[in-house]
Amino acid sequence: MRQFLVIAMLVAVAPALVAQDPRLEARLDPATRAAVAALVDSARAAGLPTEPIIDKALEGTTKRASSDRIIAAIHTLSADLQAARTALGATAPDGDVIAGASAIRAGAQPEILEQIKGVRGKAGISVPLAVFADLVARGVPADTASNVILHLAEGGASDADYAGLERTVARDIGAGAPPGASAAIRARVSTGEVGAAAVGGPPPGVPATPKDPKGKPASRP
Amino acid sequence: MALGEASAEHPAERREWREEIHRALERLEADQREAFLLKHVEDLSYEEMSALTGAGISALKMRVKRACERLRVMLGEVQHA
Amino acid sequence: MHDDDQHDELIARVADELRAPVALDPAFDARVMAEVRRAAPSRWQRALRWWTEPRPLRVSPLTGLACAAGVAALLVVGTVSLRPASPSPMKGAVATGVAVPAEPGSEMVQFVLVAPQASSVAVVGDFNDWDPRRTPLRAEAAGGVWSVNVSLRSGQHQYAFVVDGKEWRPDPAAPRAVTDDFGSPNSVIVVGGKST
Repeated sequence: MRQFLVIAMLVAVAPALVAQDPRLEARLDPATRAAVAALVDSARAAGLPTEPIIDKALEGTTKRASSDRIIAAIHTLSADLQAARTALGATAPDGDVIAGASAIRAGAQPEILEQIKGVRGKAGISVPLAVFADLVARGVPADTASNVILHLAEGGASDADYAGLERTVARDIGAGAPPGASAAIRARVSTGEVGAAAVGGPPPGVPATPKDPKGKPASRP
Repeated sequence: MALGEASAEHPAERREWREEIHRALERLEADQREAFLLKHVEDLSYEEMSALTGAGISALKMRVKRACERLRVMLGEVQHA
Repeated sequence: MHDDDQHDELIARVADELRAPVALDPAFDARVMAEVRRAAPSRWQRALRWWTEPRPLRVSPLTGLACAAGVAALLVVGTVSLRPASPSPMKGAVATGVAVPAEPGSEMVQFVLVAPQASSVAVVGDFNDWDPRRTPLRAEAAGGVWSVNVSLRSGQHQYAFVVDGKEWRPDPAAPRAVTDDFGSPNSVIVVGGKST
Protein backbone atom coordinates (compact mmCIF):
# COMPACT_ATOMS: atom_id res chain seq x y z
CA MET A 1 0.00 0.00 0.00
CA ARG A 2 2.81 2.33 0.94
CA GLN A 3 4.59 1.65 -2.32
CA PHE A 4 1.41 2.46 -4.19
CA LEU A 5 1.17 5.78 -2.36
CA VAL A 6 4.77 6.58 -3.22
CA ILE A 7 4.11 5.81 -6.87
CA ALA A 8 0.93 7.88 -6.79
CA MET A 9 2.86 10.84 -5.43
CA LEU A 10 5.54 10.49 -8.06
CA VAL A 11 2.92 10.26 -10.79
CA ALA A 12 1.44 13.51 -9.54
CA VAL A 13 4.83 15.19 -9.67
CA ALA A 14 5.82 13.63 -12.99
CA PRO A 15 4.77 16.37 -15.41
CA ALA A 16 7.29 18.71 -13.77
CA LEU A 17 10.18 16.35 -14.43
CA VAL A 18 12.56 16.38 -17.34
CA ALA A 19 11.40 14.67 -20.56
CA GLN A 20 11.46 10.92 -20.32
CA ASP A 21 13.47 8.39 -22.27
CA PRO A 22 11.39 7.06 -25.19
CA ARG A 23 12.34 3.50 -24.32
CA LEU A 24 10.56 3.89 -21.00
CA GLU A 25 7.55 5.39 -22.78
CA ALA A 26 7.28 2.40 -25.06
CA ARG A 27 7.63 -0.36 -22.51
CA LEU A 28 6.61 0.65 -19.00
CA ASP A 29 3.12 1.32 -17.68
CA PRO A 30 2.51 4.97 -16.76
CA ALA A 31 2.84 4.62 -12.98
CA THR A 32 6.07 2.68 -13.12
CA ARG A 33 7.37 4.96 -15.83
CA ALA A 34 6.83 8.03 -13.68
CA ALA A 35 8.51 6.45 -10.68
CA VAL A 36 11.48 5.35 -12.74
CA ALA A 37 11.76 8.76 -14.39
CA ALA A 38 11.86 10.38 -10.97
CA LEU A 39 14.63 8.05 -9.84
CA VAL A 40 16.56 8.70 -13.04
CA ASP A 41 16.32 12.41 -12.45
CA SER A 42 17.52 12.07 -8.85
CA ALA A 43 20.46 10.04 -9.99
CA ARG A 44 21.35 12.55 -12.65
CA ALA A 45 21.18 15.35 -10.10
CA ALA A 46 23.55 13.39 -7.87
CA GLY A 47 26.09 13.07 -10.68
CA LEU A 48 25.42 9.38 -11.24
CA PRO A 49 25.23 7.65 -14.63
CA THR A 50 21.60 7.10 -15.59
CA GLU A 51 21.90 4.51 -18.35
CA PRO A 52 22.23 1.56 -15.94
CA ILE A 53 19.07 2.69 -14.19
CA ILE A 54 17.07 2.77 -17.40
CA ASP A 55 18.61 -0.55 -18.34
CA LYS A 56 17.56 -2.07 -15.02
CA ALA A 57 13.99 -0.90 -15.52
CA LEU A 58 13.91 -2.44 -18.99
CA GLU A 59 15.38 -5.68 -17.66
CA GLY A 60 12.62 -5.84 -15.07
CA THR A 61 10.01 -5.20 -17.72
CA THR A 62 11.25 -8.00 -19.94
CA LYS A 63 11.22 -10.29 -16.93
CA ARG A 64 7.62 -9.25 -16.14
CA ALA A 65 8.59 -8.02 -12.67
CA SER A 66 6.15 -6.02 -10.59
CA SER A 67 6.45 -2.28 -10.35
CA ASP A 68 7.52 -2.56 -6.71
CA ARG A 69 10.29 -4.95 -7.57
CA ILE A 70 11.60 -2.78 -10.37
CA ILE A 71 11.68 0.24 -8.11
CA ALA A 72 13.37 -1.69 -5.31
CA ALA A 73 16.01 -2.89 -7.75
CA ILE A 74 16.63 0.66 -8.92
CA HIS A 75 17.01 1.88 -5.34
CA THR A 76 19.66 -0.79 -4.74
CA LEU A 77 21.41 0.10 -7.97
CA SER A 78 21.39 3.81 -7.20
CA ALA A 79 22.92 3.13 -3.80
CA ASP A 80 25.68 1.08 -5.41
CA LEU A 81 26.31 3.77 -8.02
CA GLN A 82 26.52 6.35 -5.27
CA ALA A 83 28.97 4.25 -3.29
CA ALA A 84 31.11 3.78 -6.39
CA ARG A 85 30.97 7.48 -7.21
CA THR A 86 32.05 8.34 -3.67
CA ALA A 87 34.91 5.84 -3.77
CA LEU A 88 36.14 6.87 -7.21
CA GLY A 89 35.56 10.62 -7.05
CA ALA A 90 33.45 13.19 -8.83
CA THR A 91 35.64 13.26 -11.94
CA ALA A 92 35.75 9.50 -12.51
CA PRO A 93 34.29 8.50 -15.88
CA ASP A 94 30.78 7.04 -15.93
CA GLY A 95 32.11 3.73 -17.24
CA ASP A 96 34.27 3.30 -14.15
CA VAL A 97 31.42 4.20 -11.83
CA ILE A 98 29.18 1.65 -13.53
CA ALA A 99 31.81 -1.07 -13.34
CA GLY A 100 32.44 -0.10 -9.72
CA ALA A 101 28.76 -0.38 -8.87
CA SER A 102 28.64 -3.87 -10.41
CA ALA A 103 31.65 -4.87 -8.37
CA ILE A 104 30.05 -3.56 -5.19
CA ARG A 105 26.88 -5.45 -5.97
CA ALA A 106 28.89 -8.61 -6.46
CA GLY A 107 30.47 -8.18 -3.03
CA ALA A 108 33.48 -5.87 -3.34
CA GLN A 109 33.96 -3.31 -0.58
CA PRO A 110 33.91 0.28 -1.88
CA GLU A 111 37.30 0.84 -0.21
CA ILE A 112 38.83 -1.65 -2.61
CA LEU A 113 37.78 0.55 -5.53
CA GLU A 114 39.54 3.49 -3.97
CA GLN A 115 42.68 1.49 -3.30
CA ILE A 116 42.91 0.07 -6.80
CA LYS A 117 42.32 3.46 -8.35
CA GLY A 118 45.08 4.87 -6.15
CA VAL A 119 47.56 2.21 -7.17
CA ARG A 120 46.65 2.03 -10.87
CA GLY A 121 46.48 5.77 -11.46
CA LYS A 122 46.30 6.51 -15.18
CA ALA A 123 46.16 2.83 -16.04
CA GLY A 124 42.54 2.92 -14.91
CA ILE A 125 40.34 0.48 -13.07
CA SER A 126 38.19 -0.93 -15.84
CA VAL A 127 40.36 -3.96 -16.57
CA PRO A 128 40.82 -4.95 -12.90
CA LEU A 129 37.08 -4.60 -12.36
CA ALA A 130 36.29 -6.65 -15.46
CA VAL A 131 38.56 -9.40 -14.15
CA PHE A 132 36.92 -9.13 -10.73
CA ALA A 133 33.51 -9.63 -12.33
CA ASP A 134 34.71 -12.64 -14.25
CA LEU A 135 36.35 -14.28 -11.22
CA VAL A 136 33.27 -13.83 -9.06
CA ALA A 137 31.01 -15.14 -11.80
CA ARG A 138 33.17 -18.28 -11.87
CA GLY A 139 32.80 -18.89 -8.15
CA VAL A 140 35.76 -17.11 -6.61
CA PRO A 141 34.52 -15.57 -3.33
CA ALA A 142 34.23 -11.79 -3.57
CA ASP A 143 36.76 -11.17 -0.80
CA THR A 144 39.36 -13.40 -2.45
CA ALA A 145 38.71 -11.84 -5.86
CA SER A 146 39.06 -8.34 -4.36
CA ASN A 147 42.37 -9.22 -2.78
CA VAL A 148 43.58 -10.78 -6.00
CA ILE A 149 42.92 -7.75 -8.17
CA LEU A 150 44.36 -5.39 -5.58
CA HIS A 151 47.40 -7.60 -5.15
CA LEU A 152 48.03 -7.59 -8.87
CA ALA A 153 47.67 -3.83 -9.02
CA GLU A 154 50.15 -3.39 -6.18
CA GLY A 155 52.54 -5.68 -8.03
CA GLY A 156 52.39 -3.39 -11.06
CA ALA A 157 50.39 -5.78 -13.23
CA SER A 158 49.64 -4.65 -16.78
CA ASP A 159 46.30 -5.17 -18.49
CA ALA A 160 47.85 -8.15 -20.24
CA ASP A 161 48.85 -9.61 -16.87
CA TYR A 162 45.29 -9.28 -15.65
CA ALA A 163 43.98 -10.97 -18.79
CA GLY A 164 46.53 -13.75 -18.41
CA LEU A 165 45.51 -14.39 -14.82
CA GLU A 166 41.88 -14.53 -15.73
CA ARG A 167 42.48 -17.02 -18.53
CA THR A 168 44.57 -19.25 -16.29
CA VAL A 169 42.09 -19.21 -13.45
CA ALA A 170 39.22 -19.90 -15.84
CA ARG A 171 41.10 -22.87 -17.20
CA ASP A 172 41.93 -24.17 -13.71
CA ILE A 173 38.31 -23.89 -12.63
CA GLY A 174 37.08 -25.53 -15.79
CA ALA A 175 39.37 -28.44 -15.01
CA GLY A 176 37.97 -28.77 -11.48
CA ALA A 177 40.20 -26.61 -9.29
CA PRO A 178 38.59 -24.86 -6.32
CA PRO A 179 38.00 -21.30 -7.54
CA GLY A 180 39.26 -19.40 -4.49
CA ALA A 181 42.49 -21.30 -4.11
CA SER A 182 43.18 -21.17 -7.82
CA ALA A 183 42.73 -17.40 -7.94
CA ALA A 184 44.86 -16.87 -4.84
CA ILE A 185 47.69 -19.02 -6.10
CA ARG A 186 47.69 -17.73 -9.64
CA ALA A 187 47.76 -14.18 -8.33
CA ARG A 188 50.98 -14.88 -6.47
CA VAL A 189 52.43 -16.63 -9.49
CA SER A 190 51.52 -13.62 -11.60
CA THR A 191 53.42 -11.21 -9.36
CA GLY A 192 56.42 -13.51 -9.30
CA GLU A 193 56.24 -14.23 -5.60
CA VAL A 194 55.84 -17.91 -6.22
CA GLY A 195 57.39 -19.75 -9.11
CA ALA A 196 54.95 -21.49 -11.41
CA ALA A 197 56.74 -24.76 -10.63
CA ALA A 198 55.65 -24.47 -7.02
CA VAL A 199 52.01 -24.71 -7.91
CA GLY A 200 52.26 -27.19 -10.73
CA GLY A 201 51.18 -26.76 -14.34
CA PRO A 202 48.48 -29.38 -14.86
CA PRO A 203 45.05 -29.17 -13.26
CA PRO A 204 44.13 -31.25 -10.21
CA GLY A 205 44.02 -34.99 -10.74
CA VAL A 206 47.74 -35.18 -10.31
CA PRO A 207 48.64 -34.12 -6.76
CA ALA A 208 51.03 -31.18 -6.79
CA THR A 209 54.61 -31.99 -5.92
CA PRO A 210 55.61 -29.44 -3.33
CA LYS A 211 58.61 -27.38 -4.30
CA ASP A 212 60.14 -24.30 -2.81
CA PRO A 213 59.85 -21.10 -4.87
CA LYS A 214 63.28 -21.67 -6.38
CA GLY A 215 61.98 -24.79 -8.04
CA LYS A 216 63.74 -27.37 -5.92
CA PRO A 217 61.66 -30.05 -4.21
CA ALA A 218 61.14 -29.09 -0.59
CA SER A 219 61.62 -31.53 2.24
CA ARG A 220 58.64 -31.86 4.50
CA PRO A 221 59.25 -30.52 8.02
CA MET B 1 27.23 -47.48 2.06
CA ALA B 2 28.26 -44.18 3.62
CA LEU B 3 28.00 -41.20 1.28
CA GLY B 4 31.70 -40.50 1.52
CA GLU B 5 32.55 -43.94 0.26
CA ALA B 6 30.63 -43.56 -2.98
CA SER B 7 32.79 -44.47 -5.91
CA ALA B 8 32.63 -44.19 -9.65
CA GLU B 9 30.03 -46.98 -9.66
CA HIS B 10 27.51 -44.53 -8.24
CA PRO B 11 28.06 -41.26 -10.08
CA ALA B 12 24.88 -39.69 -8.70
CA GLU B 13 26.02 -40.25 -5.12
CA ARG B 14 29.45 -39.03 -6.01
CA ARG B 15 27.93 -35.82 -7.40
CA GLU B 16 25.92 -35.39 -4.22
CA TRP B 17 28.98 -35.89 -2.07
CA ARG B 18 30.87 -33.33 -4.12
CA GLU B 19 28.03 -30.83 -3.75
CA GLU B 20 27.96 -31.41 0.01
CA ILE B 21 31.66 -30.71 0.15
CA HIS B 22 31.28 -27.49 -1.78
CA ARG B 23 28.38 -26.39 0.41
CA ALA B 24 30.42 -27.09 3.52
CA LEU B 25 33.43 -25.23 2.09
CA GLU B 26 31.29 -22.22 1.34
CA ARG B 27 30.28 -22.10 4.98
CA LEU B 28 33.83 -21.83 6.22
CA GLU B 29 35.37 -18.48 6.90
CA ALA B 30 37.33 -17.27 3.90
CA ASP B 31 40.78 -17.55 5.45
CA GLN B 32 40.03 -20.96 6.94
CA ARG B 33 38.78 -22.18 3.58
CA GLU B 34 41.81 -20.87 1.76
CA ALA B 35 44.21 -22.38 4.31
CA PHE B 36 42.45 -25.73 4.15
CA LEU B 37 42.59 -25.84 0.36
CA LEU B 38 46.21 -24.82 0.16
CA LYS B 39 47.17 -27.43 2.76
CA HIS B 40 45.04 -30.41 1.90
CA VAL B 41 44.29 -29.97 -1.79
CA GLU B 42 47.30 -28.11 -3.11
CA ASP B 43 49.57 -30.00 -0.68
CA LEU B 44 51.72 -27.03 0.18
CA SER B 45 53.90 -26.88 3.25
CA TYR B 46 53.18 -24.26 5.88
CA GLU B 47 56.28 -22.37 4.78
CA GLU B 48 54.96 -22.19 1.23
CA MET B 49 51.52 -21.17 2.46
CA SER B 50 53.05 -18.46 4.57
CA ALA B 51 54.97 -17.10 1.61
CA LEU B 52 51.80 -17.28 -0.48
CA THR B 53 49.35 -15.66 1.88
CA GLY B 54 51.57 -13.47 4.03
CA ALA B 55 50.09 -15.01 7.18
CA GLY B 56 52.22 -16.50 9.95
CA ILE B 57 52.68 -20.24 10.20
CA SER B 58 50.94 -20.55 13.59
CA ALA B 59 47.97 -18.58 12.29
CA LEU B 60 47.78 -20.83 9.25
CA LYS B 61 47.96 -23.98 11.38
CA MET B 62 45.12 -22.64 13.52
CA ARG B 63 43.03 -21.88 10.45
CA VAL B 64 43.56 -25.35 9.02
CA LYS B 65 42.72 -26.92 12.38
CA ARG B 66 39.52 -24.92 12.68
CA ALA B 67 38.55 -25.65 9.09
CA CYS B 68 39.04 -29.38 9.62
CA GLU B 69 37.00 -29.30 12.82
CA ARG B 70 34.14 -27.53 11.11
CA LEU B 71 34.25 -29.75 8.05
CA ARG B 72 34.19 -32.81 10.26
CA VAL B 73 31.10 -31.53 11.99
CA MET B 74 29.30 -30.49 8.79
CA LEU B 75 30.24 -33.49 6.66
CA GLY B 76 30.18 -35.99 9.50
CA GLU B 77 26.48 -35.21 9.81
CA VAL B 78 26.01 -35.85 6.10
CA GLN B 79 27.74 -39.18 6.37
CA HIS B 80 25.53 -40.41 9.15
CA ALA B 81 22.28 -39.08 7.72
CA MET C 1 52.00 -36.61 4.77
CA HIS C 2 50.85 -33.70 6.84
CA ASP C 3 52.70 -32.25 9.73
CA ASP C 4 49.63 -31.56 11.82
CA ASP C 5 47.18 -33.81 13.59
CA GLN C 6 44.26 -32.89 11.37
CA HIS C 7 44.83 -35.60 8.81
CA ASP C 8 42.10 -38.17 9.13
CA GLU C 9 40.00 -40.28 6.85
CA LEU C 10 37.18 -37.83 6.28
CA ILE C 11 39.51 -34.97 5.50
CA ALA C 12 41.48 -37.21 3.17
CA ARG C 13 38.31 -38.15 1.28
CA VAL C 14 37.28 -34.50 1.03
CA ALA C 15 40.69 -33.60 -0.33
CA ASP C 16 40.65 -36.46 -2.82
CA GLU C 17 37.29 -35.39 -4.11
CA LEU C 18 38.42 -31.80 -4.53
CA ARG C 19 41.53 -32.88 -6.37
CA ALA C 20 39.72 -35.13 -8.79
CA PRO C 21 38.94 -33.64 -12.18
CA VAL C 22 35.25 -33.04 -12.81
CA ALA C 23 34.12 -35.79 -15.15
CA LEU C 24 31.33 -35.23 -17.59
CA ASP C 25 28.51 -37.70 -17.43
CA PRO C 26 29.73 -40.68 -19.50
CA ALA C 27 26.29 -41.11 -21.07
CA PHE C 28 26.46 -37.51 -22.23
CA ASP C 29 29.89 -38.09 -23.72
CA ALA C 30 28.51 -41.00 -25.70
CA ARG C 31 25.63 -38.89 -27.04
CA VAL C 32 27.89 -36.05 -28.08
CA MET C 33 30.36 -38.39 -29.73
CA ALA C 34 27.55 -40.12 -31.62
CA GLU C 35 26.29 -36.75 -32.81
CA VAL C 36 29.73 -35.70 -33.92
CA ARG C 37 30.43 -38.98 -35.70
CA ARG C 38 27.25 -38.55 -37.73
CA ALA C 39 28.70 -35.38 -39.19
CA ALA C 40 31.09 -35.66 -42.11
CA PRO C 41 34.64 -36.50 -40.99
CA SER C 42 36.07 -33.26 -42.31
CA ARG C 43 33.66 -31.23 -40.18
CA TRP C 44 34.62 -33.22 -37.12
CA GLN C 45 38.27 -32.45 -37.84
CA ARG C 46 37.45 -28.77 -37.92
CA ALA C 47 35.44 -29.02 -34.71
CA LEU C 48 38.30 -30.74 -32.91
CA ARG C 49 40.79 -28.16 -34.07
CA TRP C 50 38.43 -25.39 -33.02
CA TRP C 51 37.96 -26.93 -29.60
CA THR C 52 41.65 -27.32 -28.89
CA GLU C 53 42.86 -23.97 -30.17
CA PRO C 54 41.83 -20.58 -28.80
CA ARG C 55 39.72 -18.75 -31.37
CA PRO C 56 39.53 -14.99 -31.69
CA LEU C 57 35.80 -15.19 -32.36
CA ARG C 58 34.46 -15.86 -28.90
CA VAL C 59 31.48 -18.10 -28.42
CA SER C 60 29.27 -17.53 -25.38
CA PRO C 61 31.95 -17.34 -22.77
CA LEU C 62 32.97 -20.93 -22.20
CA THR C 63 36.64 -21.45 -21.61
CA GLY C 64 36.64 -24.81 -19.90
CA LEU C 65 34.67 -27.98 -19.52
CA ALA C 66 32.40 -26.43 -16.95
CA CYS C 67 29.12 -27.44 -18.49
CA ALA C 68 28.04 -30.49 -20.44
CA ALA C 69 25.43 -28.58 -22.42
CA GLY C 70 28.05 -26.00 -23.28
CA VAL C 71 30.35 -28.65 -24.66
CA ALA C 72 27.56 -29.90 -26.90
CA ALA C 73 26.96 -26.39 -28.15
CA LEU C 74 30.62 -25.85 -28.88
CA LEU C 75 31.17 -29.10 -30.70
CA VAL C 76 28.06 -28.71 -32.80
CA VAL C 77 28.79 -25.05 -33.52
CA GLY C 78 32.26 -26.10 -34.55
CA THR C 79 30.75 -28.19 -37.29
CA VAL C 80 28.48 -25.55 -38.72
CA SER C 81 29.73 -22.03 -38.17
CA LEU C 82 33.44 -22.22 -38.78
CA ARG C 83 35.05 -20.21 -41.50
CA PRO C 84 38.49 -21.83 -41.41
CA ALA C 85 39.90 -19.34 -43.86
CA SER C 86 38.86 -16.23 -41.98
CA PRO C 87 41.61 -14.13 -40.52
CA SER C 88 41.46 -13.00 -36.92
CA PRO C 89 40.10 -10.95 -35.24
CA MET C 90 36.69 -11.41 -36.74
CA LYS C 91 35.69 -8.36 -38.64
CA GLY C 92 34.11 -9.89 -41.71
CA ALA C 93 31.49 -12.44 -42.61
CA VAL C 94 29.41 -13.85 -39.83
CA ALA C 95 27.11 -16.84 -39.56
CA THR C 96 24.32 -14.90 -41.23
CA GLY C 97 26.53 -14.16 -44.21
CA VAL C 98 26.32 -10.41 -43.65
CA ALA C 99 29.50 -8.42 -43.13
CA VAL C 100 29.35 -6.68 -39.75
CA PRO C 101 32.37 -4.64 -38.73
CA ALA C 102 33.40 -4.55 -35.10
CA GLU C 103 33.47 -1.02 -33.69
CA PRO C 104 36.58 0.21 -31.91
CA GLY C 105 36.53 -0.65 -28.19
CA SER C 106 34.20 -3.54 -29.02
CA GLU C 107 34.46 -7.17 -29.86
CA MET C 108 32.24 -9.39 -31.95
CA VAL C 109 30.75 -12.11 -29.80
CA GLN C 110 28.75 -15.04 -31.07
CA PHE C 111 25.84 -16.11 -28.91
CA VAL C 112 24.85 -19.73 -29.35
CA LEU C 113 22.03 -21.81 -27.96
CA VAL C 114 21.26 -25.43 -28.72
CA ALA C 115 17.44 -25.63 -28.73
CA PRO C 116 16.13 -28.20 -31.21
CA GLN C 117 12.49 -27.81 -30.10
CA ALA C 118 12.37 -24.04 -30.28
CA SER C 119 10.58 -22.07 -32.97
CA SER C 120 12.25 -18.80 -32.03
CA VAL C 121 15.22 -17.74 -29.91
CA ALA C 122 16.32 -14.22 -29.06
CA VAL C 123 19.12 -12.89 -26.90
CA VAL C 124 18.35 -10.06 -24.49
CA GLY C 125 20.80 -8.10 -22.40
CA ASP C 126 22.19 -4.79 -21.35
CA PHE C 127 23.39 -4.20 -24.90
CA ASN C 128 19.94 -4.22 -26.49
CA ASP C 129 17.68 -2.80 -23.78
CA TRP C 130 16.62 -6.35 -22.88
CA ASP C 131 14.28 -6.21 -25.86
CA PRO C 132 13.41 -9.65 -27.25
CA ARG C 133 12.49 -8.14 -30.63
CA ARG C 134 15.91 -6.65 -31.28
CA THR C 135 18.31 -9.59 -31.58
CA PRO C 136 16.79 -12.81 -32.83
CA LEU C 137 19.06 -15.80 -33.34
CA ARG C 138 19.14 -17.73 -36.55
CA ALA C 139 18.83 -21.51 -36.67
CA GLU C 140 21.52 -23.30 -38.60
CA ALA C 141 20.49 -26.19 -40.81
CA ALA C 142 22.14 -28.80 -38.59
CA GLY C 143 19.46 -29.46 -36.00
CA GLY C 144 18.60 -26.87 -33.40
CA VAL C 145 21.72 -24.72 -33.17
CA TRP C 146 20.76 -21.06 -32.94
CA SER C 147 23.29 -18.28 -33.21
CA VAL C 148 23.81 -14.59 -33.77
CA ASN C 149 26.83 -12.29 -33.75
CA VAL C 150 26.71 -9.08 -31.74
CA SER C 151 29.20 -6.30 -31.28
CA LEU C 152 29.71 -5.74 -27.55
CA ARG C 153 31.56 -2.89 -25.92
CA SER C 154 34.40 -3.82 -23.58
CA GLY C 155 33.34 -4.59 -20.05
CA GLN C 156 30.87 -6.78 -18.28
CA HIS C 157 27.52 -7.62 -19.84
CA GLN C 158 24.55 -9.55 -18.54
CA TYR C 159 22.23 -11.42 -20.87
CA ALA C 160 20.01 -14.43 -21.35
CA PHE C 161 17.99 -16.12 -24.07
CA VAL C 162 14.23 -15.91 -24.57
CA VAL C 163 12.87 -19.04 -26.21
CA ASP C 164 9.57 -18.99 -28.11
CA GLY C 165 8.88 -15.49 -26.84
CA LYS C 166 8.15 -16.64 -23.32
CA GLU C 167 10.73 -18.94 -21.76
CA TRP C 168 13.63 -17.33 -19.91
CA ARG C 169 16.80 -19.32 -20.43
CA PRO C 170 20.20 -18.31 -19.09
CA ASP C 171 23.13 -19.46 -21.19
CA PRO C 172 24.04 -23.00 -20.08
CA ALA C 173 27.58 -22.37 -21.30
CA ALA C 174 28.23 -19.19 -19.32
CA PRO C 175 28.83 -18.18 -15.72
CA ARG C 176 25.81 -16.87 -13.85
CA ALA C 177 25.53 -13.37 -12.46
CA VAL C 178 25.94 -13.63 -8.71
CA THR C 179 22.99 -11.40 -7.92
CA ASP C 180 19.53 -11.42 -9.39
CA ASP C 181 17.00 -8.68 -8.85
CA PHE C 182 13.97 -10.18 -10.51
CA GLY C 183 13.98 -13.91 -9.89
CA SER C 184 15.24 -14.78 -13.38
CA PRO C 185 19.00 -15.36 -13.41
CA ASN C 186 21.28 -13.74 -15.99
CA SER C 187 24.43 -14.96 -17.61
CA VAL C 188 27.63 -12.92 -17.62
CA ILE C 189 30.10 -12.25 -20.38
CA VAL C 190 33.15 -10.06 -19.96
CA VAL C 191 34.51 -8.57 -23.14
CA GLY C 192 37.78 -6.86 -23.86
CA GLY C 193 41.00 -6.47 -21.88
CA LYS C 194 42.09 -9.76 -23.39
CA SER C 195 44.53 -8.57 -25.98
CA THR C 196 48.22 -8.70 -25.14
